[in-house]
Amino acid sequence: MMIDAKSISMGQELAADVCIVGAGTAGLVLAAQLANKPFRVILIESGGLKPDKNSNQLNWGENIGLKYYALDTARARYFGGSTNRWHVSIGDQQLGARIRPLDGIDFEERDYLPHSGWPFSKDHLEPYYLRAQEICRAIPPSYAVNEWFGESPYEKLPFDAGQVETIVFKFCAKETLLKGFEEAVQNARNLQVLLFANLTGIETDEAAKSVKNVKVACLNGARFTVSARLFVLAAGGIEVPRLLLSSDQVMSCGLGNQNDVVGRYFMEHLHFWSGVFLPKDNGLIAKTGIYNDVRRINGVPVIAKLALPEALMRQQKLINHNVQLMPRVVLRSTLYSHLWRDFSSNPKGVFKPLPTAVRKGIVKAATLLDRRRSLIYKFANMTEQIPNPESRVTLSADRDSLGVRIVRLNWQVSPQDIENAIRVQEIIGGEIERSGLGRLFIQLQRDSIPPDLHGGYHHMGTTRMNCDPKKGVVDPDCRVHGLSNLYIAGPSVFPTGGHANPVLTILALTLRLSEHIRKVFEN
Amino acid sequence: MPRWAMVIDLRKCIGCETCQHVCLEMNRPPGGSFWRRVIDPGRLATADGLRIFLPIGCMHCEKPPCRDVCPSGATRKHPNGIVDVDFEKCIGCGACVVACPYGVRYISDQDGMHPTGEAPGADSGASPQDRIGVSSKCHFCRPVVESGFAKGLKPGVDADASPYCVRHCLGEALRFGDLDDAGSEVSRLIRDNRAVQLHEAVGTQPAVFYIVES
Repeated sequence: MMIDAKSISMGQELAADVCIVGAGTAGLVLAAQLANKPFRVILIESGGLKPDKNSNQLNWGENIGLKYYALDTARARYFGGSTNRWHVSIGDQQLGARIRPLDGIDFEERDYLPHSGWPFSKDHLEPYYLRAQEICRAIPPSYAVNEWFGESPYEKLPFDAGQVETIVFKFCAKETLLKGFEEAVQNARNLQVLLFANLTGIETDEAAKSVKNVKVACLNGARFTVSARLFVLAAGGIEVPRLLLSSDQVMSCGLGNQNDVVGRYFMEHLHFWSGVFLPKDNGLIAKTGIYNDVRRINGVPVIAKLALPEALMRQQKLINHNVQLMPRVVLRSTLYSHLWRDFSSNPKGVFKPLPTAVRKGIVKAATLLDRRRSLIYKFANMTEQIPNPESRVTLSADRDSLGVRIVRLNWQVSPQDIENAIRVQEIIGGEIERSGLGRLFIQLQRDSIPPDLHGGYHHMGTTRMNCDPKKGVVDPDCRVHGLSNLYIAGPSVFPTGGHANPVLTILALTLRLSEHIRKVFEN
Repeated sequence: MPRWAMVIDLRKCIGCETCQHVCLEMNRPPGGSFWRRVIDPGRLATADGLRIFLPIGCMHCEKPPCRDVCPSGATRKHPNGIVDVDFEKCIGCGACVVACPYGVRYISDQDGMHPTGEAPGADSGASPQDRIGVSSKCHFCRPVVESGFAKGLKPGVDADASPYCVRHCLGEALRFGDLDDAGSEVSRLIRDNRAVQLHEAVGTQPAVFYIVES
C-alpha cells in the first residue's frame, strides 16, 4: 500500500517492525524480500512515484574536491532511486545498466592496498549473486568468457591470458527491476510505502545503543515519527552518511561515528579516456564487435572488455581495472601528434640536422593536406579507486528547507590511482604489440589527473564494512557498530569497489541482509 | 502536414541529463557532438528557490539562419518543420555553426558507431558515410518520428514515434507534438502557460518552447 505522507497528521507516531529508509534498488529489494512476512514493514521514500523538483532539491550539496556532478543531479530522489537513471541502450528500445559480480581479488586483503579486504570471501556471496542475477533476469548466470564467445560469431582477442584477459559484462533492463519491485511492494499485505516522506533525524536511547524512532518531515510542513524494532538505511552512499552525521543529538559526532569513519573512504569508479589503439588491420572490427558495443547472444545483452588476470594484479601490485574498446574513424592527421612525435620534437638520426621550425612546418603541412581516414580504438576505462580516508562526505553549515545540514563532498583520488592506470595501459599496449595487432599510444600523464576524469554515479565506501569498529562503520551483518538495531543496505558498505558496476553486489548484499533480518525476528 | 514542435517544461526538469545520455546512446552522433545537452547554470534558482536547468538542442526554427547561409543546400527545412542536414551535400564550411544563435551545431573530427551497431569505415576506414568534417545536429529523431507517423502512430503520444529524449525523459519535462493541431499537448501547454522561445528578438521563430511558469 502506498500512502502520500503529506496526509499523515502532525505529530502522529507510526509503528512497524521494520523501517526501511529509501526506495532505491537496495530498499526496494529488501522490502520485496520482506513482503507478506509476519511482521509489519514501513518503507520511507523522500519523493513520489515520479521525480519532482522540490524533493530533488533536497539532494543539493557542495563539491569541494575533484570536479564532480552537481549533487542534486547525481542522484534520483523518488521511487526507484538511481535505478531510474540507468541509460545504456541494450536493444529493443530498453535502457539498462551493466551487471557483473565483484571478482575474488576484490574481497581480499591486499598487502599493497591499504584499507582493503572484506570480512568474507566471494564464495560466501556467490549464492546471493545467483539470486541477484535471477532478479535481474541475467540468465544463464555464467560469466565464463568461452561459454559466451562459443555462442557468438565474435573472436576473442589473441592476448596471453597471463597478461590480459577478456571479461564479460551482462546488462539488466531498468524496467525489469522497477516494475518487478513496484508490483511486489504494491501488493504486499504487511507493507506501507510512505511517499514524500523525508527522514530528518534518527533518535536513539540515551546511551545511543539502539534506535527508538526516526523523525520524518514533508515539504508541506507535516511532521511525524516512525518507531520500529529494526531500521535499515538504504538511501545511497552520500545520503546515508549525511543522515548518520546529522543525527547528533545524543552523540555529537553523529551516529556510528565514534571512530570518525562515517563519510570517509568515498569511492567512485574512475572513468576516463586513456589512449589510442591504432590497429594494423581494419578488419579487426568485424571480428571483435563484442568489445565495442552491447551485443545480444542468445537474446542476452552482453559486452566484452579487457582486464588483468588476478595473479598478475597480485604479482605487480595492481588494482582492478577494465577497458572498453571504442571504435572511431578519425582523420589520420589527428594522429600525427603520436605518429610523428619523434620527428617533430625529438629528432633522431637523419632528421637531426633539420631545424625545429622546418620539422614542425612539415608536420603542419601534412596535417592540412592529409584527408585520409584511419580506424582507431579509443580506450574507455573504468577502474577501482584506492580507498582514501581523505576522500569523504562531511556536513556543511548550510541547511536544506527541512532544516537538515547539506552534504559537502570532497572527492579525492591519489597519485597511485593514476600510476595504476598507466601500468595497466602499458601491459595492454605490450600485448597489442606482441600479438601483432597494432600499437597503443598512451595519453595519460603520471603527474596529472586525466582531464576528463568522471564518476559513474557509483557512491561507495562511506559506511564501510569491517569487523573492527575502529576501521569500519558496519559489521559483517551490515549492522552499525554500537547500535543494536540499525542496519545499512547499499554501496556505502563496500570496503573496496572493484571495477564492476555495483548493482549486482548491492542486490546480493541486500538479499543476504533480508535473510539476517528474518532470522532476527524468528529468534 | 503536421508541424512538429517541442515544449520543455522547466518546472519539471530535474537536470538528470537522461535526455542527453539517451540521445548519445540511441542516435550516436559524431564524436564530441551533443545533439541534446543540459545547461546547468549553477545555484541560479527560480523565484520559488528551485534550481533551473536548460535542456537545449536544435530549435528547428521557422526561419533557420543555418539554412539561409548554407552554400551547398545541405541544410534543409522539411515540410513538417524539421531542419536536417544532408551529410552527402555538406562541405563542412562551418557557416551554419557561426550563424546558429543557439550554438547547437557541431563539426566533428571523428565518428563513432552508427545506430545500426556497425562502425563507419569498417572496411577501409574511409567510408563515404562517415560524418567527419560535416555539420551535424539534433534532427528531432526524424527517422523515428516520420516512420512512426507513416504507420499511423502519433508522435509525442506514442512512444515508438517520439524522439528518444522525449520518450525517456524522467520528469516528463520534454513534450512533443503537432503545433498545428490545437488539441495536441504541445499546443495546449503553450496556450495555457507562459511559454517562451530562446532569442525571440533574433526572429528565428524556434519550434522549441520553454515553460518557465504557469
